[in-house]
Amino acid sequence: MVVGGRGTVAPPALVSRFSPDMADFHYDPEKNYDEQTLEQQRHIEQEVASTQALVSERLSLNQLIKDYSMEDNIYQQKIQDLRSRYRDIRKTRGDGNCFYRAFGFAYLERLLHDKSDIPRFKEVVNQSKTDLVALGYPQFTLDDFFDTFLDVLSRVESSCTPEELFDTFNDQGVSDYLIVTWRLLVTCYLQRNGEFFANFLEGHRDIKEFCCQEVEPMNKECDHIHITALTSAVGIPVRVEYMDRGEGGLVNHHDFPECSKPAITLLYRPGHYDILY
Amino acid sequence: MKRLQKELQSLTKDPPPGLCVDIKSITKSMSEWIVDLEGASGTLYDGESFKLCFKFGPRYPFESPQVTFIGNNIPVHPHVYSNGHICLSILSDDWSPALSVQSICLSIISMLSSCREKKRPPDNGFYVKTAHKNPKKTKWWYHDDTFSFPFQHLFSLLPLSVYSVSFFANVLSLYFIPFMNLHSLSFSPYLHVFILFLHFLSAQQIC
Repeated sequence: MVVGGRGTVAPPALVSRFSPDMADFHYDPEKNYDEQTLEQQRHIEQEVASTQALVSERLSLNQLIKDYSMEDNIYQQKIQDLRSRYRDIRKTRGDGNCFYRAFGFAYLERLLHDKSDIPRFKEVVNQSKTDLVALGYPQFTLDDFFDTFLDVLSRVESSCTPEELFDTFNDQGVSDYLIVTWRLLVTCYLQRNGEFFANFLEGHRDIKEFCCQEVEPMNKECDHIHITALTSAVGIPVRVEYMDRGEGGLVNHHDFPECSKPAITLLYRPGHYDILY
Repeated sequence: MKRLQKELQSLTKDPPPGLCVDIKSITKSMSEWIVDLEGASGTLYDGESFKLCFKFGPRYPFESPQVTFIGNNIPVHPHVYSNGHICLSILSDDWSPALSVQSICLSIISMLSSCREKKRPPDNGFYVKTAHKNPKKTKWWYHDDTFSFPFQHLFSLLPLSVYSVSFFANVLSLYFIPFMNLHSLSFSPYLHVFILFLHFLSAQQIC
């Protein structure tokens, strides 16, 4: 279990180095700045929430060109490379849940057009719930999330339109319930295969601690290990195109699991995932 | 609300040992509960009883509840301040919507049970004087319970030269991360950021 002490926080002092209106700021060790720091964090989160949809409309990849300066040769070249293989992008909100949101939307959208995978996927979800109960998770908290998840899945199976799916993912109440379920699917797979995944953890954490700190809490970002676990758990292969500052002008990709035929494709830019078409 | 009703039902029907929800304390909107807690037998808190106050915001279970010890008996513990505030990661950073009132109570009982010496946190005086009433307005720093002293002391043990070399090595590695092949990186960027962050903390004389 992680417990601990606390610290009087210095971030406002850090801010003063960058923000002109705080140039007169003097750190007073006798004062408690926690509230200001948290207020500032909330402010940033609100700004992100008010400017970015949870899931955007499908946009032309040409939009990406405007996101980077024309002098930024590395990125402009890579966007051209992407455009030779993809047409559109759908952006997700940068709130730490972007991988799950992008993955979930892209997969359910695919199911709208091809429902053949639904029975298999439902079985996987139900089995994971049984496994989580066996791992000691209380049934009644799981019910909340899995019921919502299976309900959305049933609607996709019967009568959902693409517009309704879009609205569901942009309704934060429902959308976040779906995120929790994806996170629970990951935690379940990681813990059931703890011996294998423990080899990839750094520091002193065991797999249970890792799951409690990096998988189950909302807004915790997805890393290689999460993606490996999720794609293996649900049997949905994904291709990730990595667009970073690396030289070469080409965007490299990685398939999870390796050598699979990807069902969905995501674009990774450092710290963020969007959907590619 | 539906979720809280379910939790209450499960807690009253089948309470884990040492836990008892005070039904009379629950407000109509269910936004405030008091839970009676007993120190586990064979631990330093054997025979003591405590009161935990839970306050739920409108975004529960997506935001953690406010949890504090109240009443005359605030446990004397290295992670419990005398104003009742508790330093426990699942109450803020590591909160997950899949946790519950019951799992919080069990974590707190386990935290108390593993205590080897009854004492207040070292910064209790300063914290209680300056803290907001709501513990969720505190920015908590967590470290693993197995560490016997805070990180700050760790760094003060390092000779200055080692310290600055490792500091610059970390800054450099951060600089190179964007140029490296992402596939081979696995989780190390986080480690570097974390180490840098620790250096920052120790430089600020906090923690």
